[in-house]
Amino acid sequence: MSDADLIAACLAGRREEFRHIVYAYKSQVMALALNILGNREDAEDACQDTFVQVFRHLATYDPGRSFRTWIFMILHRRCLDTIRKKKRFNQFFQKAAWECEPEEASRPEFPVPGGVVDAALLGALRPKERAALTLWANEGLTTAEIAAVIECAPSTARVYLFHARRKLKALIEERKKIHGTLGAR
Amino acid sequence: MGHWALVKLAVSVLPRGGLREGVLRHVETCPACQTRLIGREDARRFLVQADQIGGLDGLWPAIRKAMDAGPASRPVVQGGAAYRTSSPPSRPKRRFLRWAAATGGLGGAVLAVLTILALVVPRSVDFAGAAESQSDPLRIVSASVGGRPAETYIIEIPEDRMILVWVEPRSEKGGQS
Repeated sequence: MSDADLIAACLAGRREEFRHIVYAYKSQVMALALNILGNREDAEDACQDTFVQVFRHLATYDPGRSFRTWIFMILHRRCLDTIRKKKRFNQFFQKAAWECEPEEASRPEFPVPGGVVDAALLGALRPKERAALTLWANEGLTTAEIAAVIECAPSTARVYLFHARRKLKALIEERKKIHGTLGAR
Repeated sequence: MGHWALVKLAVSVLPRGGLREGVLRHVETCPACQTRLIGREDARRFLVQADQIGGLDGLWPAIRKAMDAGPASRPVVQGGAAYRTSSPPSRPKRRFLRWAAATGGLGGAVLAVLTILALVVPRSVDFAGAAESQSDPLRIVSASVGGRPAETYIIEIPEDRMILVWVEPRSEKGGQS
C-alpha cells in the first residue's frame, strides 16, 4: 500500500493501518532525532510524540506535499522543543545546585545504543545545522526540502548546510593534523 | 584575506538576499571552496544512519496507547505548510497569570520596603543642618531629641573615612546616635 492509501485508510477509521506508516518511517525518524538530540531516550520520546501528532493531524495533511517531509517537520519541532526544555531545565538546575558542572549537565550521552552520534558533531554544530546536515547527507533532501522541514527560507537552509559542512570539514582536518603529529612522534 | 576567508565572512555577515545567494551559488560550483566543505559520504560517518537503528519494537505499542489516550494538545501542523497554527488556548492565559504574579510580587516587595523604611527611620531625632562649605564635611546647626534641645558630638575617623554623630539630650541620662 502506498502512503496515500494508508493515510486514506487511517482517515476512514482503520487506525491499525497507521502501524504500517510507523514501520515505514520509524528508522529514518529515529535517526534524524538521534542526530539532532544526541541521546536515545529523548530521541525515542520525540519519535513517539511525532507519530502521535502525525496520526492526530492526518486530516490536515496536504497530499500535494511530501509525506516524509511533513513527518520530518513535525519531528524537527519536537526536537527543538526538547532542546529548549532541557536547556531551561539545565539553567535552572545550575542555578539551584552551584556545585553542578554546567558542561557536564548539558553534554549528551555517548555512545548511543543502536548508533553512535559523533560527539564532535553535537559539540560543533547547532541543532538546525545538525538537522540540515542529516537531511542532506542521510536523506538526500534538496535545500528547498530541508527548508520546508526546518521551516525557513531555502537560502537560510543553504547557510545552515554550509556552516555544518564547513565545520565538519575543519574538524576532519584538525583530526588529521593531530593524528599526523602523533604518528610523527 | 584569502578566498575562503572572504567566502566565510560573506556568508556569515551578508544579510539574506541576492548577494549572499550569489556567494552560496559560487560555493556550490567553485572547486576550491568545495575542498573546504565535507562531502556527503564523509558527513555520513558522523551521523547515525537509519539502518543502524535497532530496538524500536516498543515504539508501535507506545504510539497505539498514546493514540487511544486522548485528543491532541499540541500545536497543529496544517497540511505540511511551513507555518504553525495558533498556540494551545491555555498558553496565553498562563502567560497572563505569570505576568500578573510577577507584577503583584514586585508591588508587594516595594510596599514591604516602604513599610520597613517608614518603621526604621527614627522620628525622635531631628537634625537640621547642612554642609556650608567644602572645608566642613558636616556641620549640625541644631539638634533636638523628643522636641528638646540636645548636645551633638561629631567624631571623625579619617583613616576609616567615617564620621560618627552622637546626639544626647541635655539632661545627663544618656544619648542616641
